Amino acid sequence: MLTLALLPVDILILILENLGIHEFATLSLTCHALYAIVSEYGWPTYTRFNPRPSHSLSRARELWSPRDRAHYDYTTDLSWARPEFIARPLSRIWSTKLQPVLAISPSRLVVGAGSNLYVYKFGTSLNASSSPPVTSEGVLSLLDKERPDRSRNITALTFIADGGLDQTLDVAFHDGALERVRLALPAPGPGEEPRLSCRRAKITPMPNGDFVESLSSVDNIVLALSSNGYARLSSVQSVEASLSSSITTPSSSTSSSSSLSSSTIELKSRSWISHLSLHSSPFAAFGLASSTPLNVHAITDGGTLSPRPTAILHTKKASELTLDKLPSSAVYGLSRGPLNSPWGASPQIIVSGWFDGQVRCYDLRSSSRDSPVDSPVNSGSNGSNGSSSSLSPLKPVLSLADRWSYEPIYSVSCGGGSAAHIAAGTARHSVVSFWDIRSPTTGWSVHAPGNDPSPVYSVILESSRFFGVTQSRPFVYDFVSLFASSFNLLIFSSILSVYLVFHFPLLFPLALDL
Amino acid sequence: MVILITSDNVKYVVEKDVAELSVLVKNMLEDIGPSDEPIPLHNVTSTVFNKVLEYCIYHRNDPPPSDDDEGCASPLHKYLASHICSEWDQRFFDVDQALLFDIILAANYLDIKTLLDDACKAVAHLIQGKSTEEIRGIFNIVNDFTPEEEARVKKENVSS
Repeated sequence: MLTLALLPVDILILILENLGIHEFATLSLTCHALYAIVSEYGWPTYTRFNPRPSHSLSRARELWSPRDRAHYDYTTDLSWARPEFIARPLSRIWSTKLQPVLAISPSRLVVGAGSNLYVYKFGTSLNASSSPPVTSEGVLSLLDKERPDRSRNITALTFIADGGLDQTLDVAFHDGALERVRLALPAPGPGEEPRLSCRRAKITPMPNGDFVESLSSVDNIVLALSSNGYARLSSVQSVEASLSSSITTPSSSTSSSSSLSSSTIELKSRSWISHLSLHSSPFAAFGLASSTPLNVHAITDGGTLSPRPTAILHTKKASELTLDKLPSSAVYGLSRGPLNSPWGASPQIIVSGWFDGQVRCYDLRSSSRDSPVDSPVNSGSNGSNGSSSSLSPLKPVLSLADRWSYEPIYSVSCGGGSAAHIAAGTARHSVVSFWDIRSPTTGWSVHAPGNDPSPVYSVILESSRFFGVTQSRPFVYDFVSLFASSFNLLIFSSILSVYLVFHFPLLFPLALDL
Repeated sequence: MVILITSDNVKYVVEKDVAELSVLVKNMLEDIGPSDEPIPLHNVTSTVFNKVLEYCIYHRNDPPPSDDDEGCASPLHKYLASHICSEWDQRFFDVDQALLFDIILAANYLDIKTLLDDACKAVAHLIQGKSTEEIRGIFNIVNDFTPEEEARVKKENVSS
């Protein structure tokens, strides 16, 4: 008689797709044949249907068995549901107050603070029973070689595609300079500390000496947004070529153009944050200080930014007002929505952090606008197509807020447990708020390690880790089972002091202005 | 009307729209063009085909399954797709295991995606919430692990 284990493999896969992690565990205990089938097809099915993207774990996960990956994700989801995590600083407190920025890639985390890059490497572990380590690779000073006495603060940072090395970053400075930096990580000799160095090349600065407030990058496309509202989309044709024109000659201030094609538009407002999405309908979103503080601009097939916004995103109240009566506000944080949101995993879901302390989620596919308003929108230079744009603001599909805090939101990121969480860094007391988007009325907030009065300037949320940075130092929350990770932390206790969870779920009901 | 002959030489006269729920039959009809030639179904017996036909007649007016982009379907959508099972379907799949597996193989051979998916769900349903011992009982599985191997697999499952 035909038995379960003898069904063709493609049919077994169809059956496994309807099962969960507990059934895989029981099935693999029944016999050798089903153990093999579950190992080969069951666990990978689980991770495929429950994606938990994570930069800092991606190298480690490559070494894990499919079963280990599935179990790690499952237990991580449980830690988030409790919630239970370990908070720890990633460095000592800096000697001065800084406004740092974060950038992440599968190999490393880079913190830009003052004129320094603090580089952290993501380690691996042989199995999922311990959380892979995050170790310091060193500090790199990016002072101007000609004027090393002058301090220059880093204002924006992004990794750019360099064929998987994860060693190349675009760095923006408050003095208006933009540089491409290739980290060089020579293997240390026996007993030596690794010495971090780099190659640097200038990139064409923004117009009018404007400094870049936000950099974002997808594949080889880089979006730079300057403080006074110039947005430039450029493609990096060859990282090597752009770096070979090194900046040894002082006369190269006019600089070689590292990008073959670029498109610049003018937003004409104080600008804070950009978000780049190059999926099926590419767009860039910009957070500004303005009466229309959050705008989406389509990116055409030719890779140019549309000068006029294709969507204006605003508060629920704004939808009752005409465009010229909209109140001023500001958007400081932007992120793609969580994969497991009620509206699906579409890149058209975006999450924004606002001056009024609200985190607003938008579905760009939604049409919940109110009556169209017939006044032209403030926007870029000479809208060549001349069509009178009559956009009315798009309403948020969900608004989240900590009822006890009216502090502006400085940074947002999505991911976390069940790929359904939103993290928001607030403007004071180093408070980070978390929400599970499937249950948005039960958010909770925690302080960064050390309780300093600082804003949380930049946040990155992954499946089991949350990275944040205050004026004093970067920190990480590890959402893993406490036993497993405390072992791992001991190894690095020379550089990290261990903070055990302070998990006070200030469970606050939230204002939903749906 | 389409004439189908099962492997045990039973002749069925089936309406075209019902027969074409099978992608295999649909492709064959397109290949041979208009003709009264009977179509042989080598891998399906009449016992199994009776069940398949019952399903196809009941579901003949269903909207075709959409190749929805998995990544973008909302969780609610996915949940509904995987959990909604009509009372009729539940009764339909309440058959002995040998027949259920035969239906799966026939659906696979005839390329009837909805029937294949639903039948696989029915098998999954037999597994859900059961202990290892219960699953062995239901599917007649002989435990071929040595006690040491069994202990090792158990340990794997709790280790992380």
